Amino acid sequence: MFLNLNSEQQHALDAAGQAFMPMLEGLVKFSIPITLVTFVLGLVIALAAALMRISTSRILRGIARFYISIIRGTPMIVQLFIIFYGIPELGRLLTNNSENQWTLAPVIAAIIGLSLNVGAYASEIIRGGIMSIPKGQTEAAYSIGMNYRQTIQRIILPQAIRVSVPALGNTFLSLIKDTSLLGFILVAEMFRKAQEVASTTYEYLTIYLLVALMYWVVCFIISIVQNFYESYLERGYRS
Amino acid sequence: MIELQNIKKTFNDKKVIKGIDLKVNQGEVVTFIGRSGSGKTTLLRMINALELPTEGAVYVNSETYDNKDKKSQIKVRRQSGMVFQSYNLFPHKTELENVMEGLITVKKMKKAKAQQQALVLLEKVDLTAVKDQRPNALSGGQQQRVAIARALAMNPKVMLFDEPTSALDPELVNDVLRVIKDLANEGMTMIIVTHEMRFAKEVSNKIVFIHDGVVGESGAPEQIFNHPQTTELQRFLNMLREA
Repeated sequence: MFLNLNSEQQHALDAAGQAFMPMLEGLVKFSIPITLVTFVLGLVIALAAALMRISTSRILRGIARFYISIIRGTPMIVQLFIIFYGIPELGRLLTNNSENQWTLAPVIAAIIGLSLNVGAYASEIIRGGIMSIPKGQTEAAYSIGMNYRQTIQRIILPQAIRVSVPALGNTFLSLIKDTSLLGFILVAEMFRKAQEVASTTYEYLTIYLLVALMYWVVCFIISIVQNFYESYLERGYRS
Repeated sequence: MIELQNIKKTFNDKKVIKGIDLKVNQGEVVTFIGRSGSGKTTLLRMINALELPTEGAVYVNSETYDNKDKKSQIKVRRQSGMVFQSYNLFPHKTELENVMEGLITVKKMKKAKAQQQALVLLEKVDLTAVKDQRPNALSGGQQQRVAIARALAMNPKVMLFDEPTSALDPELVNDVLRVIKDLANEGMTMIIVTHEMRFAKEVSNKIVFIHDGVVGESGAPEQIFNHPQTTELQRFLNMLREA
């Protein structure tokens, strides 16, 4: 070693080295893939919920509002526990057979839980984006003979999405950080890996600072990509 | 061509249109004049079902609509083209794409053919040079001419103009009025809401003065502007002269 470390410092450094590879594995194999999959699924749910929220049908509006209210009104960790630990018991309760467990793989439970979350939060963002588009756009689309679906699809959504991108970028960053909760439902993601090493080496400060640094690097890269994407979407709008 | 039968419209208990009957024949250019709030824009918007009458019926090219039947409204809407005060071009599309949009989405035309037709229309409003620009890069006058081309692309039987020059800088007004005049000369049936009285006089076959939700007076431009019969119209014209 180039540095002259005392034995405590050496121990901390060794722990960090020991933790790094498992953490990176947790990041690459779980945290990032789960984030990407849930973000896409979540956006699909969000779009559907946003369209339901602005629909003329009271029933559709009610369903969407109820869903959003439940997700936003309960802690995500509780939702994840219900899905992962609770749903298997549905089999037992519904079929009156204690052997009948509808077990979900941790990753599947994680994807369901996070997608529902992204769906609820992003739907409010997309709805805001849709509402921000002037009424004249809808009228112009109608005036050339478009129906509701064509108007939403070709005129309103492309503009609403552009307005929503900055806020959706924040949702994406939150999502990456929220994957740190998935260790509690046994997904071997980055933070869980960090905890495992921390609890055997007792180097809490080092390990948790290291994991914080890794989340930060990932988020930093994403925010750079997001900036590029935003300026790409802005092209041609400024005269 | 267009027939409005006993149209009434109430907005939150406020009677905006109190019973209007009107006929517009093929090839006629009819201009609605009147104070702001007189109901002239509301009446125009009913002709393409952007506004629905509380009572009465609207016929355009023998099509009519029911307030509860969206399909019938779309059918009526497809008879007419509308030009708005604030242009309402699609900002995420180029000028050419704005004109092509209806052809592709509504008429299901192939892209190449739509492009060809759109170019002819942009040529007509003298804007081929900016076809690949976005609306924000254009002046209001240019945007309004694109909006006219976009409406014409759908091959409407009637063109509706809702104060097409009110939002424009004075030096840009004439370019837009010239395009509208050209359309009139080609025999297009048109209904125009405008505050440009000189233009109204030149281009219209008939002027309809709308006052307080009813037709106050209507007739040939010469009669309306030079021999107004009612005190309301006289007062309205005097007010404009003073301004």
